[in-house]
Amino acid sequence: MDVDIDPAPSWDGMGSPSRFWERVERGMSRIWDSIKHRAPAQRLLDPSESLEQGPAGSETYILRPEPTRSGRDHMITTSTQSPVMITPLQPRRLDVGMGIAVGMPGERDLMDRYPGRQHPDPLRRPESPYLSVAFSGRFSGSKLEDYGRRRAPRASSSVLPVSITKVDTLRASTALAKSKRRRELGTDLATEGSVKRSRLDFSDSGVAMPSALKVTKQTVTPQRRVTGASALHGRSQDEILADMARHPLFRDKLEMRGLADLWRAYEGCEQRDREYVESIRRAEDTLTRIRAASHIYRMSIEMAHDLSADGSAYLLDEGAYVDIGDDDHDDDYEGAAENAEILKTVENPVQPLSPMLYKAQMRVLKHWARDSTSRQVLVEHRSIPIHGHDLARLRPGKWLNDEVINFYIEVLKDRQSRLGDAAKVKCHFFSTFMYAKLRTPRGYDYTAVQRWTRKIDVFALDRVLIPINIQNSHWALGMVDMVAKTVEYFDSLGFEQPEMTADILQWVVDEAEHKKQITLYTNDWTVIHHGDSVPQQTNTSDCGVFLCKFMDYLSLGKEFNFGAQHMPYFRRRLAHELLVKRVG
Amino acid sequence: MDEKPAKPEGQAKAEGEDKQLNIKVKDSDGNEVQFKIKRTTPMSKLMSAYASRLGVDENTYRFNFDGNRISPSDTPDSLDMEDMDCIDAMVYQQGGH
Repeated sequence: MDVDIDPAPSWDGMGSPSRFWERVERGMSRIWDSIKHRAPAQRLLDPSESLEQGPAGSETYILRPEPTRSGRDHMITTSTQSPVMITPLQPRRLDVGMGIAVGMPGERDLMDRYPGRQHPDPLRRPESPYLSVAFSGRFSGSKLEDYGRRRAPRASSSVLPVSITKVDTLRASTALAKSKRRRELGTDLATEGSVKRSRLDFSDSGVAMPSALKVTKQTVTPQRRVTGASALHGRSQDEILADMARHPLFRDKLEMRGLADLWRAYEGCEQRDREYVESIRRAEDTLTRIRAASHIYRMSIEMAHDLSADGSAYLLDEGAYVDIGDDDHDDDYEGAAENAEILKTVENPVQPLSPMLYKAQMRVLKHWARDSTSRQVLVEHRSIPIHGHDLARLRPGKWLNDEVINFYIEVLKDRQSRLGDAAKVKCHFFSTFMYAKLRTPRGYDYTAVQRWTRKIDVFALDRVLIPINIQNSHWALGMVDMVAKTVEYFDSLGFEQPEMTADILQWVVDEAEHKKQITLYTNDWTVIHHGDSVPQQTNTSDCGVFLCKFMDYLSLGKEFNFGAQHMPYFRRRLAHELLVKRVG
Repeated sequence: MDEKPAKPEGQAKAEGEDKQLNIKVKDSDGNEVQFKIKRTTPMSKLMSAYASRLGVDENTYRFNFDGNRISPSDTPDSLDMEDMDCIDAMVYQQGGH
């Protein structure tokens, strides 16, 4: 990039000073943003925070080394008599357009240039004692009268932000401390040791300096990169620079000068900066995606151990179905009866929300990772097969089918008979086809299901559970409570289906008439639609899982203590319970 | 599908053992198809015959007898079937919302 810096800047092409300043402000804020993106770990001062909150005892200026009339040197002046430390704020940013800055011409130059005008900075009134700092490649300080004796090596029109920090503490320090500091800084001191020279080093910035911006290379001790001012106040150079840009004085200085040259340099640099930032951002995006993927993978492996009852830990992302390959987990579920370890699904079967065992989760994830259209029969119970594609329906977001639910009903029946007389509630479970036979498109038909109970006396039981499929898109549960004489309806979408409860009640009446030769009076019976007082789904896929858990809890006589947030967990748990043909 | 008896005449059998059963298959719309099947013939034959009669895939229907699923390896004997018993051919169900 070749930037020709006009030594006699003008507002040509820049509109008015105020418009230029709008552009500068916009540009600067973009740069602050880009710096933030580049160094996210490092907190930057928000540009909206003002310098008034800057470090106490510091004045910050943007300095632009400027050829004096003699053409020999560059001057920076400050009126303070306190010891000051001059710090190049962003030496490495010069290549990326951070160096939008102007400097103060020497006091005399200034007053010569603006004859008859008062110095805009009250601190810099000519009558004030002042200190001028010559920029000579390295910063060094000098009284103005010393200035003539200090010669800059070469004229440089580089744009360089510099902070001048009053170091009040130094004023009281002893000569010993001063000399010690001199040694530390390795500086070539200006008069009275009051101004410390700071370092400028672009040699390791990795970017070739445009010739017009070339700064004389300095001899620096690299380990002193963190320069005095920032080290002193524990603030990063970025922060100080951000302060600087907000400072009203900075604007004053800029307005005093035409800035077309700086602007052009700045824009050229900014373009490069943008590309650089963009490339970093792209790389970081990639990295983020890799991290997310590995996080999900790790979560699928490790989550088994930290499941908690609050439900949050039950969530599992769809993306977690990583194929974990064939490992030592035994997936011969047909022989599961002999393998007590495989049979276990959860740590504590008595607790409905007990965390799943790690190995159990892994077996499920492993199956889910396989072909979701597989017709391979994974497990069969009472002639109901569970194929690969059936098990895949337990993956989050998928609809459950009759095979999964009827299979689960069979293992619930097993649990009932296992509990035997210990069962708190004695239940009969109909399959999902019962209601479909009872209520056909032609109407209610008791005879279609009359034989279904020929081996069962439903009136000797506590509850009869009737899963209901509604128009092949929804699952709900009807229940007959023989003790309370109620027909209840549980729907995870809160619907009410009076015609379905009426059918079920009619079935109870017909059953009593045909099996017991008893006439039931429907007035003795209560129909209860639970509506949304039972756990409700929050998506359009979980109703089958709700149906299964309604049946699970109701057949145990437990109160519902789950919600939509537990569904991913229940899906995994259901899948394992099908695979081992055992609930709880 | 009609299973023809292939047994030689005069062979002594317990009564009904070699008799063919008439089994009805009823779909969810109430349409019935009647089959003759031997007591010892696996139900898989009936299932595939029903599916091919209707021109659908064999896996389309779940066959239930008195509310219980029928396995292809079941026989009328193992299911304790009687003449003119009815099998329900149910289509798959699903639901999500």
